[in-house]
Amino acid sequence: MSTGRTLAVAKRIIRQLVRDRRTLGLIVIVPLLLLSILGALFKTTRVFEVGFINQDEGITTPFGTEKISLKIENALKDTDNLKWHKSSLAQAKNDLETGLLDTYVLLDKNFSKDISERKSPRVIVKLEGSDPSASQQILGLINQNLLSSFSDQKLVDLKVEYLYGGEKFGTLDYFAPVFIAFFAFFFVFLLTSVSFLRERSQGTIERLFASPVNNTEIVIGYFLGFLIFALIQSLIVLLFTIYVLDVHFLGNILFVFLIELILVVGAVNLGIFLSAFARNELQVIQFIPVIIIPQALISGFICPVKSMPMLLQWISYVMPLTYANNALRGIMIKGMGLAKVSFDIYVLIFFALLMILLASLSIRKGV
Amino acid sequence: MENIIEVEGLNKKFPPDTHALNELNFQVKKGLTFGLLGPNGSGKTTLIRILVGILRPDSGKVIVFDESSKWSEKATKIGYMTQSQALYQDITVSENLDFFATIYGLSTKEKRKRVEELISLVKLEEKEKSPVVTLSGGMKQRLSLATALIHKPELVFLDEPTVGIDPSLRIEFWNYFKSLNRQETTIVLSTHVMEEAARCDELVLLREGKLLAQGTIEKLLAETKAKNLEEAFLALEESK
Repeated sequence: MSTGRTLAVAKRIIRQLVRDRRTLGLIVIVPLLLLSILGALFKTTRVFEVGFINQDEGITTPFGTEKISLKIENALKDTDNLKWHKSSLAQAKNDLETGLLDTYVLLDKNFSKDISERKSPRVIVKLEGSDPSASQQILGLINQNLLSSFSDQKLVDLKVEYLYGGEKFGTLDYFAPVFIAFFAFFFVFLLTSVSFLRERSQGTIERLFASPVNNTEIVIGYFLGFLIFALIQSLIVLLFTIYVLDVHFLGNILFVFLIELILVVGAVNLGIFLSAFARNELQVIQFIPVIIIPQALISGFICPVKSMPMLLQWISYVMPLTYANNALRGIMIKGMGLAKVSFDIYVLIFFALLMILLASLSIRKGV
Repeated sequence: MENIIEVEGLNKKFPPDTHALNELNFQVKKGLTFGLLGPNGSGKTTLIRILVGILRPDSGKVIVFDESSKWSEKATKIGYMTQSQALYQDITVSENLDFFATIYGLSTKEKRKRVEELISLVKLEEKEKSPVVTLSGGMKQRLSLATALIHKPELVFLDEPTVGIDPSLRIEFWNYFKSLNRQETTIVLSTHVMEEAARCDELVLLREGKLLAQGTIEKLLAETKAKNLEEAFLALEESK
């Protein structure tokens, strides 16, 4: 082995890297960026919003009406990960559906009477339920913070109800919808950007521009070409998750495809747009840690957006996957119709239109 | 003879300070093979890209066919073979031809006929079903020419068309170019090879974006009193 030749190869690599400023920047900046996101996510204490509804009618004593439940109500204290909100049943139901509450606790009208008669008072805990691990945590926290104030916990008749999901729902049920969105977005983005880069580098795009084909036809053609594969992929992922992984699916499969279709329009055009800023396939791959991984981390994939630090929440609001995840979870786990996820759909349509505009403006860049 | 291209005061700059085309004036007559002769970097490819509508000039007038029709209409009558072999590598020879035929609006029947004709013209019959990536450089060059001619264009731009092909096929290409001329098809081709340029009916000589001269070979040789095109080019270069 020749040391000189080996060092010549090493020297050449160093020279090339030093001149490739983008790669150099990525080597340094990307790990710091991703570590910052991960650090912020793991340091985040998840805070659960819990409604408290006291319907206790009390018991009549010689001194007037006495509500034993008030002692419990007055003993409620917010902790680092549990926030109590006194509410009415109607309000709490609404807040649970709109996501303002994670759960609510209801003390029924006979609460004081049951305790005074040494019967089991009825306490209902209604969980939002779409995230099974959150449900487990909430039940644990309620045990610690509420039931501990009862003199005899065994006496309490605790009834756990779920708005969505249920005891049979596992963590995989919560993650399955985001896998579908993530795979479709990631692969379509990657394939489009590489394909379009090849069109540019091999000169075929130049041939197309000299032909009667216009920008719109190219953009729509790309979208249709990749859409077929994205839909086949999502069908396979969906069937695999339902029938092999035994994931619960409550929604309409056509709604899942509709969300995916809008997401794919955005992904194809994002790929075309960003391919204008890459000179080779390596530079396209460099977009993954900048564009894809942060979305995977903070789009509600790992932990809910509302539990993240404010800065990350703001960043997540400009990411299409945040809305796709939300919509797909709504459809698949909660059995929602399109009307209930309409906001997410509108944002995804806006993102798709914005990407079409950017792709159309950048399509001729560098030609 | 009617002009199919007219260029007047054409300028194109690229940042920061490249003056790729500098005050070009020339005309191309219909039905001829018109050569753009010049060394690498003389502006031949930039000029072709402007003439096929990919690039916009900074200033000057460029008329291709006529002033009134839209570029999208003109594009259907233009064939363009780029310097790089602009082909889809993962699909087959016939699929590439079929794609470009569809882009140019050929009917299914016409497509089938033209694909067969052109595969035979560029002698790729045995490779018809082979992916382009498996072809040699010369074969790709031949296919690239075929895709530019698939829709029977009236005006064909060929950027260094005979690079990488063997001498006998080069002769066949030239014979085909001449037969196209007989059918009123105009060919504009760029080259830096004097032998190739000598086969053109008319030439413009370019150097660093400037036009050194325009005319037939005979006219250029007479004006410079040179024995051949190479000497004529050098004489013109010195005089400017």
